[in-house]
Amino acid sequence: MTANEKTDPLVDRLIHRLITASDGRVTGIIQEARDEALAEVKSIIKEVLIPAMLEQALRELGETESEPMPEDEAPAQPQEAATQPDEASVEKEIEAIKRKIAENERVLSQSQGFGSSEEDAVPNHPAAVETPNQRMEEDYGYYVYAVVACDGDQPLGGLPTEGIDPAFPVYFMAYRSIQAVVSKVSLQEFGQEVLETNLNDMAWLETKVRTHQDVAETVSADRALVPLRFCTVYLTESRVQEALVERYDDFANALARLKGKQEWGVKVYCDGNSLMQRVRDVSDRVKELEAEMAQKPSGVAYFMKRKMEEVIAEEIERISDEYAQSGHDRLSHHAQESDIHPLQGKELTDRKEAMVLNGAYLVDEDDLAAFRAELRNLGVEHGDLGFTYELTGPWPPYSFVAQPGETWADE
Amino acid sequence: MSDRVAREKEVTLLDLVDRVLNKGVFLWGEVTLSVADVDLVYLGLKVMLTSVETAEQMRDKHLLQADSDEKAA
Repeated sequence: MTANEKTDPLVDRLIHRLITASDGRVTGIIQEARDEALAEVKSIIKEVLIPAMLEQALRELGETESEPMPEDEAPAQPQEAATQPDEASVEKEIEAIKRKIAENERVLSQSQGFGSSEEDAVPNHPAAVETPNQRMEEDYGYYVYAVVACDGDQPLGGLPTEGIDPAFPVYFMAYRSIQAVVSKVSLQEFGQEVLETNLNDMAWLETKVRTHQDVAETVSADRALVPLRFCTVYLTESRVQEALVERYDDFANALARLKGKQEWGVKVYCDGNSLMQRVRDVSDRVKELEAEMAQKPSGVAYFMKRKMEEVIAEEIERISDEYAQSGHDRLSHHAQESDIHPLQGKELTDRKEAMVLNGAYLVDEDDLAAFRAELRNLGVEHGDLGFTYELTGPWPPYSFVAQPGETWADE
Repeated sequence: MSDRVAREKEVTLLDLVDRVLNKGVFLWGEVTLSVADVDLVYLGLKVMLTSVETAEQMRDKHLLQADSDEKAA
């Protein structure tokens, strides 16, 4: 299957997503423009407010100083009268500016078809506009890699000084007997919207996924670890803390269950050609058909040949399934838990052989030697038929913690 | 633990994506990866590998062409 086949539903979805992504940029640009407009309006209001407030302050000071006077001196009255219109005019000006903001907001949102009531409310509360300091604080989040037990020492060689955002180091955030492995990240890079764009950048993805994995691996060197999914980001440290509190039992139980165990991946590939040769050699059905074919006239033989090819294909599939299942069963025997991942297609693995098993095994350290020995045996026994066994690991136990939609807790 | 260091094989991006993006505990952070995001990453990998393959094929074709041109000359 090639990438430019328009019929591929995945490509259709990509196109759809790309359109959506560029729509997202349009939204972003409009949001930026709106922010800039607001900032400008804010500065205008500020300019108007400064002299008005100064005037007010001066007047109050003046009134305090001249307080004893008004009782018997007339000038107080005209002074009062003179300030009144002034104040009113400032207020009027502010009202006019507010109306202008509202008008701008309305025009902007009308022209683009959005603008929530929340945004409409902003002009009525100019004070709610973020100050630069608030803005800075909100531009960072807290990336959580994993949760580990508190009992281990600092990892050998220490925690990585560069996290997934290399500007910030990795650190622990503890709650009772568990701790989150965290580092600060810029939301310019890890915000929800920009993330979708970044995920399309394979170089970015590769660097970040490897860093996530490296951090988990460093930390898990001598302790149990519950790995979190890529790009789990909280806006504040207290939200991370809340997550630890909320899921404390789940994390503590999972850490106890995973202690002293590691995940290993085994992929089995099948070379269709050598298996086909073997099927021809050993299959009774094929032999019967071949014998029958030899006695038939050529026209009939042609159809029989087609029939035989079908049978061989079926046999190959059956044998592949059977061997994959038997390999998985034998490996599972040496594992605490096992899981079968979806098979990776040839377009993903970039190999000529078809993948017939993509297994994950949670193996206790004490069983590792036996597990490896079984893997070697399988490689030898199934090798003749064209099966290749490939081992990866050890992995943090990604495949042995709950998936979305599954009830990990008693929720 | 020397066993930990001794990797069987260089881990491919695909293996990493299979686990780091597709598995692991899912928590509702303010930023999270959706199932659609993960699908898109697989699609991206597929497109990337296909284009690498196509580029290699084109290069090979080009080399063959250059080769036969040379022989013809």
